[in-house]
Amino acid sequence: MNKYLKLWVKTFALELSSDMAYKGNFIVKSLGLILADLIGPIVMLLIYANSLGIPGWGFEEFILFQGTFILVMGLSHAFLFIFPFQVIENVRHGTFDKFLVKPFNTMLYLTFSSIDIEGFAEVFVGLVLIIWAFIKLNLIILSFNTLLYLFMIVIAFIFMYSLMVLISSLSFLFVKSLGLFDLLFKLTDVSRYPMNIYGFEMRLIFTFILPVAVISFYPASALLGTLNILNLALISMPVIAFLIFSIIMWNLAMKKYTSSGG
Amino acid sequence: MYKKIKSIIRMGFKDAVAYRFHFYITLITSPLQLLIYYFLWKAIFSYSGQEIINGFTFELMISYYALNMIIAFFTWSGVEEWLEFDVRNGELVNMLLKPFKVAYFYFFQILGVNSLSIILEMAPFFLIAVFFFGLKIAPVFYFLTFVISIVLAMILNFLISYLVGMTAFWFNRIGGIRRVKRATVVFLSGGMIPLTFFPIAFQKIFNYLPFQYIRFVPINIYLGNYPYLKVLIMIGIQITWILILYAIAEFVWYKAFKKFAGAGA
Repeated sequence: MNKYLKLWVKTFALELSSDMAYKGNFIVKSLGLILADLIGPIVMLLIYANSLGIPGWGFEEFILFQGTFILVMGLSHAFLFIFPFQVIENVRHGTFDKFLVKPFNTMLYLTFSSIDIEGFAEVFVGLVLIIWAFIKLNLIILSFNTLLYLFMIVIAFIFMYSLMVLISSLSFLFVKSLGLFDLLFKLTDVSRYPMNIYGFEMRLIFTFILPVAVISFYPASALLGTLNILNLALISMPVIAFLIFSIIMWNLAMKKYTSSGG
Repeated sequence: MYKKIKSIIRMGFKDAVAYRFHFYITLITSPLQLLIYYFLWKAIFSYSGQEIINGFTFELMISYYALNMIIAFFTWSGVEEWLEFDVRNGELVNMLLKPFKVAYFYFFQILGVNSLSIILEMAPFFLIAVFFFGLKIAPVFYFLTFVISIVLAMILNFLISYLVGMTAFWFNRIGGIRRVKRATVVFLSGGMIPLTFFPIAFQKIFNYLPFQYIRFVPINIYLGNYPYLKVLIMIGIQITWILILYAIAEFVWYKAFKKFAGAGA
């Protein structure tokens, strides 16, 4: 475990220094991300100013929801997105073998060397929105619901990780996989809005079959106290299944890759 | 001249054919995105109990987003990225040798890419929107003026991208500037929400900016929200903005080129 931690810290330092090489661009890029992430809340502000908004969600509650979405996406951006891009790029250029010869488990190596400093700009936006909502809604920080919220964010992160592993695995089968990345990634757009808008059947699908609802809907619901532990345990199950499935897919892909004479 | 233009357009078209897989993917993701908007606005309309929100019925709102996507396909412009790449890697030198203004070269190449997008994205998505999302086929006058206005919108968007892309002459990396530009243009052009949702004061400011002529105005032309005369005025304003931005682009190019040549490339 120790060597992976070292790898992670080294990657972090490397990424930081390479971003600092073009400081101006890095600052503008981060500002751009912040700006882009703020457009969502502004659009919602306009919608809530002109209508009653989304059923079951007041404006402050929705901002909590949206902040959670941005936070999870920011964390994924910071710690996960490089993983599939590394795989896609290197498989396409036939340079993937360099990961196989490293004295690490390939999947863990890719996991712990996936850092993108830009993601922290998004994490920042998410946190600001969440804190704003916390204050507006008079939520208590040290409460059982906050604990459940944090637990659900971890689950959301695990889901995003599984998705990245799955996309990476599939990129061995479909070499033009950047499109595939878009396709699977676009599915997370479903969780930009609360599940209330989709109706019961689709909510079941997005909870149990393709559990994108864990990205933002269930964490926010947990914090607002509409879910109990039993609900949350049930909701977490499909995510764990998804994680296992994607790891199996990864192992299959690795087997296929080596046997094709790489 | 005509022959040269044709060959550049064909070049862009062929380049895009190589990436046709990408077009197929957008043909799946775009209806999915429209479907999300469909559920979102259905919930908002039924919860509010209003028939009309800021001049839009539910059906018109969905048409708005469908047309928004159609325009996004056609006004695509990667010129900032190309410029950044060509300036940094010195490819620009080769382009200067060609008997053609660099701006025209990029423009016609992008026109080629977008022509393929008509076949692979716009037309199929238009049919999907008509058959599954209740987009009405506009009356002849509005349809034709819509076509004219999105061609102008494409030129307008190209010029804005080109201006932003030229910052590459002064900065090493412009990924950040590109991102800020993309977010601003989409938002201020009405690509996220109809501009009628903004406070009146903002809407007045938008009238004096070029952005709403890229999406909001063409969509309203299609939806028949303007009388005939206003449609023609709007197209006139689009053309005026194109001329203004073209003049600015020429000036900036002149400055940028001096800098480029001065760097001894």
